[in-house]
Amino acid sequence: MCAAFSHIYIEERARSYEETSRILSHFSDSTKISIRHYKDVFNRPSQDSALQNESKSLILAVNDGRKIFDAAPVCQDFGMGKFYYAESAMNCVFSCDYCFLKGMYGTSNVVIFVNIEDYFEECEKYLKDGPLYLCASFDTDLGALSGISSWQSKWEDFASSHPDLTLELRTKSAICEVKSADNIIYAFTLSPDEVIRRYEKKTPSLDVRIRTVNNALNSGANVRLCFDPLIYIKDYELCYNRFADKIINDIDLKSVRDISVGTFRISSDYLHNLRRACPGSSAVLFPFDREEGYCVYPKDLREKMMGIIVNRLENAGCGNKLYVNP
Amino acid sequence: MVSDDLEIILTGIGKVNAAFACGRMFPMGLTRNDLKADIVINIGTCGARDLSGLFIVNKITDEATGRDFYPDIIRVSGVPEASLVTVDEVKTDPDPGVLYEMEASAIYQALSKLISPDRMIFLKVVSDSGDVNGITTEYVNDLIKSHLPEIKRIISSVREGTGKEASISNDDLYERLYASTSMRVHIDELIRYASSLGIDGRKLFAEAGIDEVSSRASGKEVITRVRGILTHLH
Repeated sequence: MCAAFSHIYIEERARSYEETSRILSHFSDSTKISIRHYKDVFNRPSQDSALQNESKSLILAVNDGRKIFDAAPVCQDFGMGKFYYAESAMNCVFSCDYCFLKGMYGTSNVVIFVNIEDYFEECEKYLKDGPLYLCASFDTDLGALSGISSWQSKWEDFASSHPDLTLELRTKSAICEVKSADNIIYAFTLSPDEVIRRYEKKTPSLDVRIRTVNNALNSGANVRLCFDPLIYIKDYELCYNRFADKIINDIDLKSVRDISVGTFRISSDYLHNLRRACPGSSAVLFPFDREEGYCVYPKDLREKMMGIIVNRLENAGCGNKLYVNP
Repeated sequence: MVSDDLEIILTGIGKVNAAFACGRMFPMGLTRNDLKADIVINIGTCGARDLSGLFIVNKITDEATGRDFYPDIIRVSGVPEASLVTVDEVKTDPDPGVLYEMEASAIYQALSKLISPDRMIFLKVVSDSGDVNGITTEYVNDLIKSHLPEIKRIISSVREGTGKEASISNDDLYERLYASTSMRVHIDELIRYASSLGIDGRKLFAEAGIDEVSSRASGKEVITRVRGILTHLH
């Protein structure tokens, strides 16, 4: 996919990078504006992220700060004990109402850091201390950016030459190419079409995502399925049961590496921004319970929602592949 | 005030005058939230070496401080964009491709405390190329007049794209439910959620027994009942 950006802000120091030229070559019609530092645009106070979402801008920058971070405790670690994420881009060209990025950032504009080699250098420092589990598509969807940026394939190449690195690339996109390698995991987030149509704007349909999953499996890639977050909608039992039918029928689950299941949860601090970004969305206006700093569905509701998917997957023989978020 | 929803303020020349005018524009004590539906359009002339016509500004540099500011160009389309430098004295040797004037950076800085970057729109008409001799009031008036149709079009399109948010007061519910501050937050949250589902939340409160409420405790029970209905709609 090749997103349209009305404006592209370019840090002066980013201009000399090859990736900058590559990206700009896709956008001859966009207005280009030179900037000193990406934070001058990205971090402006009180931006109207809902309005920006209708006309996103792209920011090309050099990250001279920290590049790899510890993931929050609420994130599924897939039994790895601890995992890290790399912030080689921030924000997403998709527009999911419930996305934590809308809560974390006060803007819908997308940043791509063009100095990827510096990320690899920092990664190598971590690898000196032992194996590293790294999510490279955490604060963004690199698959969705692959039409304009080469970062997904650069990360794949880097992982291929560093066997101690386990790389997770999470996406909702219809990525065309995957790499078959033991240490690269393609994590596909799947949702019922009712949820996609209502809350996951600009993302591919379930059929397209399933086709992408099957292409990846046929290519011999490591595939993770993420039924996370499950989003509450009216008639969710019917909706998620139909969804489970489709997944079980259309995907060879035996070939899937593992499956993550979890209901929507978000830091209480982010919910305010999220509601500002999507002021009419029932996905974020739901009257959540507050538990230990996180907004969650009421316990009975989340147990019922989880139960539908978990039971169906267990009955389909996938019990040993399930990672269930509480 | 030229109409119920449009006010014109003359800033005068230079950053101090511009900042002072911004200060007069909004009474003391107003917050960003109070002004969330307001839009400020700065219209003025500027110098440029090789540009002519009307521009919308996408970058403002304050020459004295070196600071840059970026109005968000979302609400206006179809107008040529340019970057602008705010100077303290007339720029007699302008760089190519850049607009020069004497107020924008001060206006942006003064208003950014209250107005979001998409709601500050800077429209500049090129009046000269650095030589201001012979620039008279009449000339400037005629120049702006010649661009009035376009300026009016921009103001109209900006107006169409905005508007005060209609808000319904829940004060009567607060009173009837003996609501504390936190209960009020819950009431508002439930009504907004109901609205997002196309349900009349206030009607739900009526159906959940608001007429029987005689204390804060029974008010809380009604809120709990409404919440139960809304979170288990299946």
